[in-house]
Amino acid sequence: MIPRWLLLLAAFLFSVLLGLGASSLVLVAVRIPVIETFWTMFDGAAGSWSALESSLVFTEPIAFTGLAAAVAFRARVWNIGGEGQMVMGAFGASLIALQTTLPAPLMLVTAVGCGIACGAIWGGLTAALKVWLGVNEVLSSLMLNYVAILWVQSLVYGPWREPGGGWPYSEYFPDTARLPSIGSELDAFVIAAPLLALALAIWLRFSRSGFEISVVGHSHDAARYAAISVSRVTILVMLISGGIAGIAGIQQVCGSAGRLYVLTPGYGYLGILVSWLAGHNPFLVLVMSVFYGIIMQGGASLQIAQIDPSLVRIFQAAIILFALAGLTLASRIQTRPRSKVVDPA
Amino acid sequence: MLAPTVQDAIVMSSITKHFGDIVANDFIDLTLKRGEIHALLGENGAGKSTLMNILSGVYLPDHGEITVSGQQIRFRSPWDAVRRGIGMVHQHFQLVDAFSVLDNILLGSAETSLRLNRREAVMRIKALGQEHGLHIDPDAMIWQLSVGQRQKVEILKLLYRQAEVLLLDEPTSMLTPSEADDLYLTLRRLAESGRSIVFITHKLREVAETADRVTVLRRGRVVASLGKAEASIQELGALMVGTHIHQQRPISRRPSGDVILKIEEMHSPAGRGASGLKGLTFELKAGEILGVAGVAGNGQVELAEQLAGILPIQRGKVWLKGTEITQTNALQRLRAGLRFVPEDRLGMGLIPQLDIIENMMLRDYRDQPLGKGMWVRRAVARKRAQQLVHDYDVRTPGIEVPVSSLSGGNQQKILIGRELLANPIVLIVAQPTRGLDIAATRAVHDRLLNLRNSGTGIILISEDLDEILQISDRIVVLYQGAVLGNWNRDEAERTGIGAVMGGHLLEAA
Repeated sequence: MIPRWLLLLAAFLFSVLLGLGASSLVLVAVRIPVIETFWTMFDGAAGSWSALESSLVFTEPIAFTGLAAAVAFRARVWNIGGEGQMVMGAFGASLIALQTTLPAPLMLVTAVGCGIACGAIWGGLTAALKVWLGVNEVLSSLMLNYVAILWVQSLVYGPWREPGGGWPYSEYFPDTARLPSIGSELDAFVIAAPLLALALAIWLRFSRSGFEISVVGHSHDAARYAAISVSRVTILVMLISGGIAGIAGIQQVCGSAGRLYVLTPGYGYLGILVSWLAGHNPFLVLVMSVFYGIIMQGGASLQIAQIDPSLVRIFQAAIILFALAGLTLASRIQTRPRSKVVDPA
Repeated sequence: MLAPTVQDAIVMSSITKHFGDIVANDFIDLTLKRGEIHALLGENGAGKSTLMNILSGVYLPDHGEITVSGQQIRFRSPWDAVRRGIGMVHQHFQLVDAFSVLDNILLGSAETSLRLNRREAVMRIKALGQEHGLHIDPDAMIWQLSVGQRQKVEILKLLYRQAEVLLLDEPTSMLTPSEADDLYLTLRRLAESGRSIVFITHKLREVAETADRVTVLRRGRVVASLGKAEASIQELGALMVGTHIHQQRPISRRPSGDVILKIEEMHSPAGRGASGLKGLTFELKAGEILGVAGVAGNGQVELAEQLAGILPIQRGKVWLKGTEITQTNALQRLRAGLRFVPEDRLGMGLIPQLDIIENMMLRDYRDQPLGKGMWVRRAVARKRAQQLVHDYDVRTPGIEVPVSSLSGGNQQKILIGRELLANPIVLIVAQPTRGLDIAATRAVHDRLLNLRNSGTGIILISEDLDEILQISDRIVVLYQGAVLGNWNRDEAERTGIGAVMGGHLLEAA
């Protein structure tokens, strides 16, 4: 039998090729040379170290929101509030960076800690609503996204706006609150992402809580039977998920930007997508967020090459749709022929 | 219509059906005469349901022919079969609970016009009921009906669609003995009106009492097709399992031990289709199997889950070894040695998507040796899984396969094996052999008897009265949430207990 990972890998690569094929039909239809376009995309996103570095800029926040989503989804808690938790993370870090004057190492540590806490609280709010009031987490986490975004908007348009500045940005953070940079565009959290993925993988597989998350994610009846509190697990995963999503926000404000602004929308939702593509496996979340970063950077380089941005979006959507469909179909192939081992005993 | 003559209604010949590598039906021939009640007997996995699904158009056979009234046909869907007058009553009824009887019968019936003519339909249903003794109010809601009545609705549904051939999949599995008798009468009347009936069963007694003809399947092949009175129950059983079986299991008599579990006045609210508990009181002794008989929905699930701590105890008290445990939770109870094998094997007892190793951890992952601090020790779970697969002879390609890929018997071995590893003081087992074949059932019973001999008190909750009669030391009947009757092993007899299960009061003793 073909090993599962090989089947999924083959399905993934094949689907991406199909996605590219479908995109090329669009290119042919509008008479743009296919090969050159694909080359531009590849060259701009992965053709050189600097291109790859630019891709990783997109990857970084997606990796964190993806890991955040994966933790919640494993317990079948549908946290789609990664966006809001990310924004609250950015807010929490900014609160420390802008409002306090702490000495060098303490400043950054406190800012990061406060950001994570704010993200966790934002996630915990959804859990509390679900556990105590029975509110569906999809609705509450989605609504809380808007609250978080509007809250940060009101800050950067209002009290925290840089004095004399024309844009909705805060003042620059002091250097003590900035993440050490790596290369020209990246920051230290690019290393934190794989470490976090490793820690999560170990925790999910070998810890009591990880096992409880897996049980709750498969069957609430089995959880009751094993005396596992579904409520407790729900709160736990929402706190952790929110905290990790918060890191994505911290990374964006304490990284190359160095100030609070209205974050580029979408990373929270992309995390959901990436987690699904990765089957909620922490390591695969990393792989898929690199893949997604390359697609985004590829799109950016196409725009530089004067190709219509809407075409670029069609490209991205086609590739992702095919990949998602391919992976879903492939994982079904694997589960179907189960009668093979059945021995009527 | 001509008077019914002895004529072949259906001839199936050389029917073969494969599922992957498994041959479910292997060149099966079956002839069904008009006005005949035909039993299809066989163990689980013998190919009975597959054959009936082929006849009702659900599956296409890989090979073979079906002839209906002398005409060779090929069903492409269940609709083709319905048009040919063949209908099936599934084991799990296909009814919409919130709809009336009338709506359920009309739902999906092959009316040609778009408009429903309800008044005419009501008249037809009443006429059919009159003709066949199926008296059901067409305006009653399904959820208000008993299981036996729901089955009548299913049969009416087929008659409304002018079915001439009725297929019933294990029709008595959910019925009380008296409801089953009622069903036999109905089937006989239908047969006398010229219709043909096939019923699937693995109960020998039913065959002997009802069928005109019996076809015995084993491992996808026909091993015998006999007329009434051509074979005794013992002979049929031997044909079905392939070897001679013992009717009753001899079990050693033991002096009963101390009372280890005591339940007093347990109550719980009634739910839809379930009676709840209404002041349940009984005692369990060490080294005893207490059989709790009863028809589904008389409080079995509530009893089991309240004892295991999964449902809170609303009113009443429970003592384990003299200590009151009414207020303790599920974790405290399983740690105290009160273990539970739930009837919902894959929904509650095991997690089908996870492998055997992870299922070994399900209830004991917190404590030594499976748990250590905040970590679980997978290596220990792996060893346990290997040991269990070996000890219980679990047929599996490995321990890292999802439990869903095993057969029901092997799943049950894992579930029971895991609970027994904890050396229970009291074990509650619910429907432990439902869906299992004879060999697997025997293996499960052996384990329960061994456990009893080692001094554990066992509460065996089962809808299968024969199972209860076979291995219980003492038997009670659960009816409408309360205990009715109490028999010791040597004084228990089938018909008396069956009557109590149906709600007949015991004579004052």
